Amino acid sequence: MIRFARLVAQGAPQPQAFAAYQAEVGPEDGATALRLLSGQRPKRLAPPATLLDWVAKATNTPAFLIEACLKTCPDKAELAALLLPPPTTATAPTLTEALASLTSAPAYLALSRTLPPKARTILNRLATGTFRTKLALPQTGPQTPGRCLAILTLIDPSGPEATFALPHDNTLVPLTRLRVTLPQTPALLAWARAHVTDRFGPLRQVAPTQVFELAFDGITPNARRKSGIDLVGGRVIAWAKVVQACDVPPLSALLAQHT
Amino acid sequence: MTRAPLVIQTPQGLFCPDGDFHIDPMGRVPRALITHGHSDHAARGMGTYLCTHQALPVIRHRLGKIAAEGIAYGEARQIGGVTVSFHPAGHVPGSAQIRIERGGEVWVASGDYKTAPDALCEPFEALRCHTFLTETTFGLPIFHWQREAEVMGQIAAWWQANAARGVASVLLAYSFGKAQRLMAGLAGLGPICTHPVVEGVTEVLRRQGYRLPPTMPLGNTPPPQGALVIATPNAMASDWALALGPHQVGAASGWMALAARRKGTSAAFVLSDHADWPGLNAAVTATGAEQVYTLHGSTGPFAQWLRAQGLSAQALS
Repeated sequence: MIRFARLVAQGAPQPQAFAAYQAEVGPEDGATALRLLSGQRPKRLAPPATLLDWVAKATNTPAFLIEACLKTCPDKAELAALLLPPPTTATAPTLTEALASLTSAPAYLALSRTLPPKARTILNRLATGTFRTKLALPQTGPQTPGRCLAILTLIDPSGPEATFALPHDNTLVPLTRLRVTLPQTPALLAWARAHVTDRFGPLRQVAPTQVFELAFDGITPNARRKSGIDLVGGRVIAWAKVVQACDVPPLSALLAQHT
Repeated sequence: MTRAPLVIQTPQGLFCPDGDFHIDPMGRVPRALITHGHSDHAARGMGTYLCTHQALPVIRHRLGKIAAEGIAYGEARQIGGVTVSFHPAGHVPGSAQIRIERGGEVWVASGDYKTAPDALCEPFEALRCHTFLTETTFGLPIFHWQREAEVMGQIAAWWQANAARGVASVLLAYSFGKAQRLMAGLAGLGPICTHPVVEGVTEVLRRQGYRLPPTMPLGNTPPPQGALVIATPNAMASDWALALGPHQVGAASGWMALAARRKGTSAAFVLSDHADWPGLNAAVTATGAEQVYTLHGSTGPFAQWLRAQGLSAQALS
Protein backbone atom coordinates (compact mmCIF):
# COMPACT_ATOMS: atom_id res chain seq x y z
CA MET A 1 0.00 0.00 0.00
CA ILE A 2 2.88 2.35 0.83
CA ARG A 3 4.57 1.53 -2.46
CA PHE A 4 1.31 2.09 -4.36
CA ALA A 5 0.85 5.47 -2.66
CA ARG A 6 4.37 6.39 -3.79
CA LEU A 7 3.51 5.29 -7.34
CA VAL A 8 0.51 7.63 -7.52
CA ALA A 9 1.95 10.46 -5.38
CA GLN A 10 2.60 12.69 -8.38
CA GLY A 11 -0.61 11.88 -10.25
CA ALA A 12 -0.87 9.58 -13.27
CA PRO A 13 2.11 7.18 -13.19
CA GLN A 14 4.19 6.81 -16.33
CA PRO A 15 4.34 3.30 -17.84
CA GLN A 16 8.01 2.96 -16.85
CA ALA A 17 7.19 3.80 -13.24
CA PHE A 18 4.31 1.34 -13.31
CA ALA A 19 6.53 -1.41 -14.71
CA ALA A 20 9.05 -0.79 -11.93
CA TYR A 21 6.22 -0.92 -9.40
CA GLN A 22 4.95 -4.23 -10.79
CA ALA A 23 8.41 -5.74 -10.71
CA GLU A 24 8.80 -4.70 -7.10
CA VAL A 25 5.44 -5.76 -5.65
CA GLY A 26 4.80 -8.96 -7.56
CA PRO A 27 1.79 -10.27 -9.50
CA GLU A 28 -1.00 -9.92 -6.93
CA ASP A 29 -0.52 -6.25 -6.10
CA GLY A 30 0.52 -5.60 -9.69
CA ALA A 31 -2.83 -6.87 -10.91
CA THR A 32 -4.74 -5.01 -8.21
CA ALA A 33 -2.93 -1.77 -9.07
CA LEU A 34 -3.57 -2.24 -12.77
CA ARG A 35 -7.30 -2.59 -12.11
CA LEU A 36 -7.37 0.55 -9.95
CA LEU A 37 -5.33 2.56 -12.43
CA SER A 38 -7.53 1.38 -15.27
CA GLY A 39 -10.54 3.01 -13.67
CA GLN A 40 -12.04 0.04 -11.82
CA ARG A 41 -12.97 1.29 -8.36
CA PRO A 42 -13.55 -0.86 -5.33
CA LYS A 43 -17.01 -0.71 -3.78
CA ARG A 44 -17.32 2.50 -1.75
CA LEU A 45 -17.04 1.88 1.98
CA ALA A 46 -18.35 5.29 3.03
CA PRO A 47 -18.58 8.87 1.79
CA PRO A 48 -15.68 11.15 2.83
CA ALA A 49 -17.69 12.92 5.56
CA THR A 50 -18.61 9.60 7.19
CA LEU A 51 -15.05 8.34 7.04
CA LEU A 52 -13.85 11.59 8.64
CA ASP A 53 -16.48 11.16 11.32
CA TRP A 54 -15.19 7.67 12.17
CA VAL A 55 -11.62 8.98 12.48
CA ALA A 56 -12.75 11.98 14.56
CA LYS A 57 -14.52 9.62 16.99
CA ALA A 58 -11.60 7.18 17.06
CA THR A 59 -9.18 10.02 17.91
CA ASN A 60 -11.59 11.87 20.27
CA THR A 61 -11.24 15.00 18.16
CA PRO A 62 -14.00 17.50 18.97
CA ALA A 63 -16.09 19.01 16.19
CA PHE A 64 -14.62 22.51 16.55
CA LEU A 65 -11.13 21.13 15.89
CA ILE A 66 -12.37 19.26 12.82
CA GLU A 67 -13.85 22.54 11.58
CA ALA A 68 -10.52 24.31 12.17
CA CYS A 69 -8.59 21.51 10.45
CA LEU A 70 -10.86 21.66 7.41
CA LYS A 71 -9.85 25.30 6.94
CA THR A 72 -6.20 24.24 6.68
CA CYS A 73 -6.86 20.91 4.96
CA PRO A 74 -10.19 21.01 3.10
CA ASP A 75 -9.72 17.54 1.59
CA LYS A 76 -11.65 15.22 3.94
CA ALA A 77 -9.82 12.09 2.78
CA GLU A 78 -6.48 13.73 3.51
CA LEU A 79 -7.70 15.16 6.81
CA ALA A 80 -8.88 11.74 7.96
CA ALA A 81 -5.40 10.45 7.12
CA LEU A 82 -3.59 13.20 9.03
CA LEU A 83 -5.73 13.01 12.18
CA LEU A 84 -4.57 9.55 13.15
CA PRO A 85 -1.19 9.45 14.90
CA PRO A 86 1.74 8.02 12.88
CA PRO A 87 1.86 4.21 12.73
CA THR A 88 3.67 2.41 15.51
CA THR A 89 3.88 -0.98 13.77
CA ALA A 90 6.76 -1.79 11.46
CA THR A 91 4.70 -4.05 9.20
CA ALA A 92 2.56 -2.56 6.48
CA PRO A 93 -0.15 -4.23 4.40
CA THR A 94 0.03 -4.90 0.69
CA LEU A 95 -2.32 -2.98 -1.58
CA THR A 96 -4.49 -6.08 -1.95
CA GLU A 97 -4.67 -6.57 1.82
CA ALA A 98 -5.47 -2.89 2.30
CA LEU A 99 -8.36 -3.09 -0.15
CA ALA A 100 -9.64 -6.21 1.58
CA SER A 101 -9.97 -4.19 4.81
CA LEU A 102 -12.51 -1.85 3.28
CA THR A 103 -15.44 -3.80 4.69
CA SER A 104 -16.32 -2.04 7.95
CA ALA A 105 -15.35 0.98 10.04
CA PRO A 106 -13.34 -1.07 12.60
CA ALA A 107 -11.49 -3.02 9.89
CA TYR A 108 -10.71 0.17 8.02
CA LEU A 109 -9.52 1.99 11.15
CA ALA A 110 -7.34 -0.91 12.28
CA LEU A 111 -5.64 -1.02 8.90
CA SER A 112 -5.39 2.73 8.47
CA ARG A 113 -3.50 3.00 11.78
CA THR A 114 -0.69 0.83 10.35
CA LEU A 115 -0.08 3.17 7.39
CA PRO A 116 1.86 6.44 7.10
CA PRO A 117 -0.28 9.48 6.24
CA LYS A 118 0.38 9.62 2.49
CA ALA A 119 -0.58 5.97 2.05
CA ARG A 120 -3.59 6.54 4.32
CA THR A 121 -4.76 9.36 2.09
CA ILE A 122 -4.72 7.06 -0.93
CA LEU A 123 -6.51 4.34 1.06
CA ASN A 124 -9.12 6.94 2.04
CA ARG A 125 -9.64 7.89 -1.59
CA LEU A 126 -10.16 4.23 -2.43
CA ALA A 127 -12.49 3.79 0.55
CA THR A 128 -14.58 6.83 -0.36
CA GLY A 129 -14.72 6.24 -4.11
CA THR A 130 -12.74 9.42 -4.79
CA PHE A 131 -9.63 7.75 -6.23
CA ARG A 132 -9.28 9.18 -9.74
CA THR A 133 -5.67 8.48 -10.75
CA LYS A 134 -5.19 6.54 -13.95
CA LEU A 135 -2.18 5.29 -15.86
CA ALA A 136 -0.57 7.92 -18.14
CA LEU A 137 0.00 6.98 -21.88
CA PRO A 138 -0.74 3.31 -23.01
CA GLN A 139 1.85 0.82 -21.78
CA THR A 140 4.52 0.48 -24.41
CA GLY A 141 6.82 -1.92 -22.66
CA PRO A 142 7.43 -5.49 -23.79
CA GLN A 143 4.22 -7.48 -24.03
CA THR A 144 3.73 -10.90 -22.55
CA PRO A 145 1.92 -13.25 -24.92
CA GLY A 146 -0.48 -15.64 -23.29
CA ARG A 147 -3.65 -17.65 -23.45
CA CYS A 148 -6.82 -17.65 -21.48
CA LEU A 149 -10.24 -19.18 -21.30
CA ALA A 150 -13.26 -16.95 -21.81
CA ILE A 151 -17.03 -17.35 -22.02
CA LEU A 152 -19.01 -16.57 -25.15
CA THR A 153 -21.72 -14.00 -24.36
CA LEU A 154 -22.68 -12.30 -27.64
CA ILE A 155 -22.36 -13.26 -31.27
CA ASP A 156 -22.90 -11.39 -34.52
CA PRO A 157 -23.54 -14.16 -37.06
CA SER A 158 -22.65 -11.91 -40.01
CA GLY A 159 -18.93 -11.83 -39.09
CA PRO A 160 -19.07 -14.02 -37.37
CA GLU A 161 -17.78 -11.91 -34.47
CA ALA A 162 -18.13 -12.93 -30.88
CA THR A 163 -17.83 -11.19 -27.54
CA PHE A 164 -16.06 -13.07 -24.78
CA ALA A 165 -16.29 -12.34 -21.08
CA LEU A 166 -14.65 -13.30 -17.81
CA PRO A 167 -16.15 -13.80 -14.34
CA HIS A 168 -15.58 -10.89 -11.96
CA ASP A 169 -17.44 -10.26 -8.69
CA ASN A 170 -20.33 -12.63 -9.45
CA THR A 171 -20.90 -11.15 -12.88
CA LEU A 172 -19.42 -11.42 -16.34
CA VAL A 173 -17.21 -8.59 -17.57
CA PRO A 174 -16.69 -8.26 -21.35
CA LEU A 175 -13.08 -8.99 -22.21
CA THR A 176 -12.78 -8.74 -25.99
CA ARG A 177 -14.62 -9.02 -29.30
CA LEU A 178 -13.00 -11.30 -31.86
CA ARG A 179 -13.69 -12.80 -35.27
CA VAL A 180 -14.31 -16.54 -35.06
CA THR A 181 -12.52 -18.54 -37.78
CA LEU A 182 -12.61 -22.03 -36.35
CA PRO A 183 -13.36 -25.24 -38.29
CA GLN A 184 -16.37 -25.57 -35.98
CA THR A 185 -17.76 -22.13 -36.86
CA PRO A 186 -20.88 -23.52 -38.62
CA ALA A 187 -21.57 -25.75 -35.64
CA LEU A 188 -21.08 -22.80 -33.30
CA LEU A 189 -23.56 -20.68 -35.29
CA ALA A 190 -26.06 -23.53 -35.14
CA TRP A 191 -25.59 -23.79 -31.38
CA ALA A 192 -25.98 -20.01 -31.02
CA ARG A 193 -29.27 -19.97 -33.00
CA ALA A 194 -30.66 -22.48 -30.53
CA HIS A 195 -29.51 -20.60 -27.43
CA VAL A 196 -30.35 -16.94 -28.10
CA THR A 197 -31.50 -15.17 -24.91
CA ASP A 198 -31.79 -11.63 -26.30
CA ARG A 199 -31.25 -9.61 -29.46
CA PHE A 200 -29.60 -6.20 -29.97
CA GLY A 201 -29.75 -5.40 -33.68
CA PRO A 202 -27.53 -7.95 -35.40
CA LEU A 203 -26.13 -9.08 -32.05
CA ARG A 204 -27.42 -12.22 -30.39
CA GLN A 205 -27.01 -12.69 -26.67
CA VAL A 206 -26.49 -16.37 -25.94
CA ALA A 207 -26.55 -18.48 -22.82
CA PRO A 208 -23.13 -17.97 -21.15
CA THR A 209 -22.21 -21.63 -21.12
CA GLN A 210 -19.73 -22.07 -23.94
CA VAL A 211 -16.02 -21.69 -23.21
CA PHE A 212 -13.31 -20.76 -25.71
CA GLU A 213 -9.57 -20.66 -25.57
CA LEU A 214 -8.12 -17.32 -26.62
CA ALA A 215 -4.52 -16.37 -27.41
CA PHE A 216 -3.08 -12.86 -27.26
CA ASP A 217 0.19 -10.98 -27.67
CA GLY A 218 -0.21 -8.78 -24.64
CA ILE A 219 -2.45 -6.83 -22.29
CA THR A 220 -2.68 -3.06 -22.06
CA PRO A 221 -4.71 -1.00 -19.60
CA ASN A 222 -7.75 0.75 -21.01
CA ALA A 223 -9.84 2.77 -18.61
CA ARG A 224 -12.84 2.77 -20.94
CA ARG A 225 -13.23 -0.99 -20.71
CA LYS A 226 -15.18 -2.57 -17.88
CA SER A 227 -12.34 -5.06 -17.56
CA GLY A 228 -9.86 -2.20 -17.43
CA ILE A 229 -7.75 -3.82 -20.17
CA ASP A 230 -7.44 -4.50 -23.88
CA LEU A 231 -6.14 -7.75 -25.27
CA VAL A 232 -3.52 -7.02 -27.92
CA GLY A 233 -3.52 -9.40 -30.90
CA GLY A 234 -6.33 -11.51 -29.49
CA ARG A 235 -7.56 -14.55 -31.47
CA VAL A 236 -9.85 -17.52 -30.91
CA ILE A 237 -7.83 -20.74 -30.74
CA ALA A 238 -10.36 -23.41 -29.84
CA TRP A 239 -13.87 -24.18 -28.62
CA ALA A 240 -13.10 -25.69 -25.23
CA LYS A 241 -16.18 -27.90 -25.09
CA VAL A 242 -14.88 -29.92 -22.15
CA VAL A 243 -14.62 -26.85 -19.87
CA GLN A 244 -17.62 -25.69 -17.85
CA ALA A 245 -18.25 -21.94 -17.72
CA CYS A 246 -18.08 -22.08 -13.93
CA ASP A 247 -14.49 -23.34 -14.19
CA VAL A 248 -13.23 -20.35 -16.16
CA PRO A 249 -10.66 -18.43 -14.06
CA PRO A 250 -11.78 -14.89 -13.18
CA LEU A 251 -10.47 -11.62 -14.59
CA SER A 252 -8.21 -11.16 -11.57
CA ALA A 253 -6.38 -14.38 -12.41
CA LEU A 254 -5.67 -13.14 -15.93
CA LEU A 255 -4.39 -9.84 -14.60
CA ALA A 256 -2.26 -11.56 -12.02
CA GLN A 257 -0.60 -13.75 -14.66
CA HIS A 258 -0.01 -11.11 -17.27
CA THR A 259 0.76 -7.85 -15.51
CA MET B 1 -6.52 40.85 44.39
CA THR B 2 -5.82 40.54 40.70
CA ARG B 3 -2.26 41.36 39.78
CA ALA B 4 -1.34 43.31 36.67
CA PRO B 5 -0.28 41.01 33.85
CA LEU B 6 3.46 40.53 33.40
CA VAL B 7 3.13 40.60 29.62
CA ILE B 8 0.59 42.40 27.47
CA GLN B 9 0.11 42.73 23.76
CA THR B 10 0.86 46.07 22.11
CA PRO B 11 0.93 47.14 18.45
CA GLN B 12 4.75 46.70 18.53
CA GLY B 13 4.51 43.19 19.98
CA LEU B 14 4.57 41.59 23.43
CA PHE B 15 5.40 44.07 26.20
CA CYS B 16 6.38 43.64 29.83
CA PRO B 17 5.24 46.82 31.64
CA ASP B 18 7.13 46.07 34.85
CA GLY B 19 10.41 45.56 32.95
CA ASP B 20 9.69 48.17 30.30
CA PHE B 21 10.84 45.92 27.47
CA HIS B 22 9.30 44.26 24.42
CA ILE B 23 9.73 40.65 23.32
CA ASP B 24 10.44 40.10 19.59
CA PRO B 25 8.95 43.49 18.64
CA MET B 26 8.23 44.32 15.02
CA GLY B 27 7.72 48.07 15.57
CA ARG B 28 10.57 50.32 16.82
CA VAL B 29 10.96 50.18 20.60
CA PRO B 30 13.74 51.27 22.99
CA ARG B 31 14.48 47.85 24.49
CA ALA B 32 13.98 44.49 22.78
CA LEU B 33 14.46 40.99 24.19
CA ILE B 34 14.88 38.66 21.23
CA THR B 35 14.08 34.93 21.32
CA HIS B 36 15.97 34.07 18.12
CA GLY B 37 17.39 35.38 14.88
CA HIS B 38 14.59 34.72 12.37
CA SER B 39 13.45 37.91 10.68
CA ASP B 40 9.91 37.72 12.08
CA HIS B 41 11.37 37.81 15.59
CA ALA B 42 14.53 39.91 15.23
CA ALA B 43 13.80 43.10 13.30
CA ARG B 44 15.87 46.22 12.66
CA GLY B 45 15.33 49.51 14.43
CA MET B 46 15.32 48.70 18.16
CA GLY B 47 17.19 50.87 20.65
CA THR B 48 18.93 47.91 22.31
CA TYR B 49 18.80 44.16 21.85
CA LEU B 50 19.21 41.39 24.40
CA CYS B 51 19.45 37.75 23.31
CA THR B 52 21.49 34.65 24.13
CA HIS B 53 25.21 34.65 23.40
CA GLN B 54 24.49 31.85 20.94
CA ALA B 55 21.83 33.83 19.07
CA LEU B 56 23.74 37.11 18.89
CA PRO B 57 26.27 36.43 16.08
CA VAL B 58 23.57 35.52 13.54
CA ILE B 59 21.44 38.49 14.61
CA ARG B 60 24.44 40.81 14.12
CA HIS B 61 25.21 39.12 10.78
CA ARG B 62 21.67 39.82 9.59
CA LEU B 63 20.94 43.23 11.15
CA GLY B 64 24.36 44.87 10.84
CA LYS B 65 25.38 47.53 13.37
CA ILE B 66 23.08 47.26 16.39
CA ALA B 67 23.41 47.95 20.11
CA ALA B 68 23.15 44.41 21.37
CA GLU B 69 24.15 42.34 24.34
CA GLY B 70 24.34 38.60 24.89
CA ILE B 71 23.21 36.66 27.94
CA ALA B 72 23.97 33.09 28.97
CA TYR B 73 21.21 30.46 29.02
CA GLY B 74 19.82 30.33 32.55
CA GLU B 75 21.48 33.55 33.72
CA ALA B 76 19.07 35.65 35.83
CA ARG B 77 18.97 39.36 35.17
CA GLN B 78 17.00 42.06 36.90
CA ILE B 79 15.29 44.39 34.46
CA GLY B 80 13.12 47.01 36.14
CA GLY B 81 10.73 45.22 38.46
CA VAL B 82 11.19 41.73 37.00
CA THR B 83 13.83 39.01 36.81
CA VAL B 84 14.45 37.69 33.35
CA SER B 85 16.24 34.57 32.08
CA PHE B 86 16.60 32.84 28.71
CA HIS B 87 16.16 29.05 28.29
CA PRO B 88 16.66 26.76 25.26
CA ALA B 89 13.68 26.53 22.90
CA GLY B 90 15.09 23.85 20.55
CA HIS B 91 13.98 25.84 17.50
CA VAL B 92 17.24 27.07 15.92
CA PRO B 93 20.78 27.58 17.28
CA GLY B 94 20.66 30.07 20.14
CA SER B 95 16.87 30.18 20.33
CA ALA B 96 15.30 30.83 23.70
CA GLN B 97 12.15 30.95 25.74
CA ILE B 98 12.08 34.01 27.95
CA ARG B 99 11.18 33.51 31.60
CA ILE B 100 9.90 36.52 33.54
CA GLU B 101 9.45 36.46 37.31
CA ARG B 102 7.96 39.01 39.69
CA GLY B 103 7.56 38.14 43.33
CA GLY B 104 7.13 34.40 42.75
CA GLU B 105 4.83 34.76 39.78
CA VAL B 106 6.35 33.28 36.62
CA TRP B 107 5.44 33.89 33.00
CA VAL B 108 7.19 32.24 30.07
CA ALA B 109 7.14 33.51 26.49
CA SER B 110 8.02 30.52 24.38
CA GLY B 111 9.13 32.22 21.17
CA ASP B 112 9.22 29.53 18.51
CA TYR B 113 10.06 26.12 19.90
CA LYS B 114 10.48 22.46 19.07
CA THR B 115 10.30 19.82 21.79
CA ALA B 116 12.04 17.02 19.84
CA PRO B 117 15.85 17.13 19.74
CA ASP B 118 17.94 17.52 16.59
CA ALA B 119 21.62 17.24 15.67
CA LEU B 120 22.29 20.95 15.93
CA CYS B 121 20.53 23.19 18.41
CA GLU B 122 20.33 23.39 22.20
CA PRO B 123 17.51 21.02 23.28
CA PHE B 124 14.18 22.43 24.49
CA GLU B 125 13.94 22.90 28.24
CA ALA B 126 10.54 22.56 29.92
CA LEU B 127 9.92 25.41 32.41
CA ARG B 128 7.36 25.58 35.19
CA CYS B 129 5.28 28.74 35.10
CA HIS B 130 1.91 30.22 35.99
CA THR B 131 1.29 31.73 32.59
CA PHE B 132 2.64 30.34 29.34
CA LEU B 133 2.65 32.30 26.10
CA THR B 134 2.97 29.56 23.52
CA GLU B 135 3.41 29.66 19.79
CA THR B 136 0.84 27.55 17.90
CA THR B 137 2.20 27.56 14.34
CA PHE B 138 1.23 23.89 13.97
CA GLY B 139 -1.53 23.88 16.59
CA LEU B 140 -3.88 21.46 14.88
CA PRO B 141 -4.17 17.70 15.44
CA ILE B 142 -3.17 17.01 11.84
CA PHE B 143 0.49 17.75 12.55
CA HIS B 144 2.45 14.79 13.89
CA TRP B 145 6.15 14.79 13.07
CA GLN B 146 8.20 11.69 12.36
CA ARG B 147 11.49 11.24 14.18
CA GLU B 148 14.24 13.35 12.63
CA ALA B 149 16.35 10.30 11.74
CA GLU B 150 13.51 8.90 9.60
CA VAL B 151 13.13 12.13 7.64
CA MET B 152 16.89 12.46 7.17
CA GLY B 153 16.84 8.89 5.84
CA GLN B 154 14.18 9.87 3.29
CA ILE B 155 16.20 12.88 2.18
CA ALA B 156 19.38 10.81 1.94
CA ALA B 157 17.60 8.21 -0.24
CA TRP B 158 16.31 10.94 -2.56
CA TRP B 159 19.75 12.52 -2.77
CA GLN B 160 21.43 9.19 -3.53
CA ALA B 161 18.86 8.28 -6.20
CA ASN B 162 19.43 11.64 -7.91
CA ALA B 163 23.19 11.27 -7.62
CA ALA B 164 23.00 7.83 -9.26
CA ARG B 165 21.34 9.48 -12.27
CA GLY B 166 23.94 12.26 -12.39
CA VAL B 167 21.42 14.87 -11.23
CA ALA B 168 22.05 17.42 -8.48
CA SER B 169 19.64 17.57 -5.53
CA VAL B 170 18.52 21.08 -4.59
CA LEU B 171 16.94 21.29 -1.17
CA LEU B 172 15.00 24.45 -0.33
CA ALA B 173 15.23 25.64 3.26
CA TYR B 174 15.43 28.78 5.40
CA SER B 175 18.97 30.12 5.31
CA PHE B 176 19.21 30.10 9.12
CA GLY B 177 18.30 27.05 11.13
CA LYS B 178 16.74 24.58 8.72
CA ALA B 179 19.64 24.81 6.27
CA GLN B 180 22.22 23.99 8.95
CA ARG B 181 20.02 21.35 10.56
CA LEU B 182 19.88 19.61 7.19
CA MET B 183 23.65 19.69 6.64
CA ALA B 184 24.25 18.47 10.19
CA GLY B 185 21.76 15.63 9.70
CA LEU B 186 23.14 14.65 6.29
CA ALA B 187 26.87 15.06 7.03
CA GLY B 188 29.24 12.55 5.47
CA LEU B 189 26.91 11.30 2.73
CA GLY B 190 28.40 13.33 -0.14
CA PRO B 191 29.39 16.82 -1.23
CA ILE B 192 27.14 19.58 0.18
CA CYS B 193 27.00 22.91 -1.65
CA THR B 194 25.31 26.09 -0.50
CA HIS B 195 23.84 29.26 -1.92
CA PRO B 196 26.01 32.21 -0.76
CA VAL B 197 23.28 33.45 1.61
CA VAL B 198 23.12 30.03 3.28
CA GLU B 199 26.93 29.84 3.38
CA GLY B 200 27.15 33.24 5.11
CA VAL B 201 24.95 32.14 8.02
CA THR B 202 26.61 28.71 8.11
CA GLU B 203 30.05 30.27 8.43
CA VAL B 204 28.87 32.43 11.34
CA LEU B 205 27.54 29.35 13.17
CA ARG B 206 30.67 27.35 12.35
CA ARG B 207 32.85 30.04 13.92
CA GLN B 208 30.65 29.85 17.04
CA GLY B 209 31.56 26.20 17.35
CA TYR B 210 28.37 24.51 16.09
CA ARG B 211 29.33 21.16 14.56
CA LEU B 212 28.67 21.57 10.87
CA PRO B 213 30.14 19.59 7.97
CA PRO B 214 32.30 21.27 5.34
CA THR B 215 30.24 22.96 2.64
CA MET B 216 31.10 24.43 -0.72
CA PRO B 217 29.57 27.80 -1.60
CA LEU B 218 28.30 27.85 -5.18
CA GLY B 219 28.86 31.00 -7.20
CA ASN B 220 28.02 30.72 -10.85
CA THR B 221 29.62 27.33 -11.32
CA PRO B 222 27.79 24.01 -11.50
CA PRO B 223 27.88 21.79 -8.41
CA PRO B 224 30.14 18.73 -8.43
CA GLN B 225 28.74 15.37 -9.51
CA GLY B 226 26.18 13.98 -7.08
CA ALA B 227 26.06 17.07 -4.87
CA LEU B 228 23.35 18.24 -2.51
CA VAL B 229 22.71 21.97 -2.87
CA ILE B 230 21.04 23.82 0.00
CA ALA B 231 19.37 27.02 -1.16
CA THR B 232 16.59 29.39 -0.20
CA PRO B 233 13.39 29.48 -2.27
CA ASN B 234 14.34 33.02 -3.37
CA ALA B 235 17.65 31.79 -4.75
CA MET B 236 15.84 29.42 -7.10
CA ALA B 237 14.05 32.39 -8.67
CA SER B 238 17.34 34.21 -9.36
CA ASP B 239 19.98 33.92 -12.10
CA TRP B 240 22.07 31.92 -9.66
CA ALA B 241 19.86 28.89 -10.36
CA LEU B 242 20.78 28.92 -14.06
CA ALA B 243 24.22 27.45 -13.37
CA LEU B 244 22.88 24.44 -11.47
CA GLY B 245 22.68 22.14 -14.49
CA PRO B 246 20.33 19.14 -14.34
CA HIS B 247 18.74 19.05 -10.89
CA GLN B 248 15.75 17.99 -8.83
CA VAL B 249 14.16 20.32 -6.28
CA GLY B 250 13.02 19.17 -2.87
CA ALA B 251 11.58 21.11 0.04
CA ALA B 252 11.87 20.44 3.76
CA SER B 253 9.22 22.02 5.98
CA GLY B 254 6.45 21.11 8.39
CA TRP B 255 3.96 22.43 5.84
CA MET B 256 4.96 19.60 3.51
CA ALA B 257 2.60 17.46 5.60
CA LEU B 258 -0.17 18.98 3.46
CA ALA B 259 -0.66 17.77 -0.11
CA ALA B 260 -1.62 21.27 -1.26
CA ARG B 261 1.78 22.57 -0.11
CA ARG B 262 3.64 19.73 -1.82
CA LYS B 263 2.41 20.75 -5.27
CA GLY B 264 5.22 21.95 -7.50
CA THR B 265 8.06 20.23 -5.66
CA SER B 266 9.36 16.96 -6.99
CA ALA B 267 10.23 15.85 -3.46
CA ALA B 268 8.76 17.04 -0.19
CA PHE B 269 10.03 16.23 3.29
CA VAL B 270 8.08 16.91 6.46
CA LEU B 271 10.73 18.45 8.68
CA SER B 272 9.81 21.26 11.03
CA ASP B 273 11.62 23.44 13.55
CA HIS B 274 8.34 23.94 15.40
CA ALA B 275 6.52 21.70 17.84
CA ASP B 276 3.83 19.45 16.38
CA TRP B 277 0.42 18.90 17.99
CA PRO B 278 1.66 16.35 20.56
CA GLY B 279 4.70 18.55 21.21
CA LEU B 280 2.61 21.64 21.89
CA ASN B 281 0.31 19.74 24.21
CA ALA B 282 3.22 18.14 26.07
CA ALA B 283 4.92 21.52 26.42
CA VAL B 284 1.80 23.16 27.85
CA THR B 285 1.31 20.28 30.28
CA ALA B 286 4.95 20.39 31.38
CA THR B 287 4.72 24.08 32.31
CA GLY B 288 1.92 23.35 34.78
CA ALA B 289 0.50 26.72 33.72
CA GLU B 290 -3.05 27.63 34.72
CA GLN B 291 -3.21 30.30 32.06
CA VAL B 292 -2.10 30.04 28.47
CA TYR B 293 -1.97 32.62 25.69
CA THR B 294 -1.56 31.45 22.11
CA LEU B 295 0.38 33.22 19.36
CA HIS B 296 0.94 32.52 15.64
CA GLY B 297 -0.90 30.03 13.48
CA SER B 298 -3.86 28.18 14.94
CA THR B 299 -4.24 30.43 17.97
CA GLY B 300 -8.04 30.24 18.24
CA PRO B 301 -8.54 26.48 17.88
CA PHE B 302 -5.60 25.66 20.15
CA ALA B 303 -6.86 28.03 22.87
CA GLN B 304 -10.34 26.53 22.58
CA TRP B 305 -8.80 23.05 22.82
CA LEU B 306 -6.97 24.03 26.02
CA ARG B 307 -10.17 25.49 27.48
CA ALA B 308 -11.86 22.16 26.77
CA GLN B 309 -9.04 20.58 28.83
CA GLY B 310 -9.93 22.86 31.75
CA LEU B 311 -7.22 25.52 31.33
CA SER B 312 -7.74 29.24 31.08
CA ALA B 313 -6.60 29.98 27.54
CA GLN B 314 -6.93 32.84 25.12
CA ALA B 315 -5.71 33.62 21.62
CA LEU B 316 -3.44 36.67 21.38
CA SER B 317 -3.19 36.98 17.61
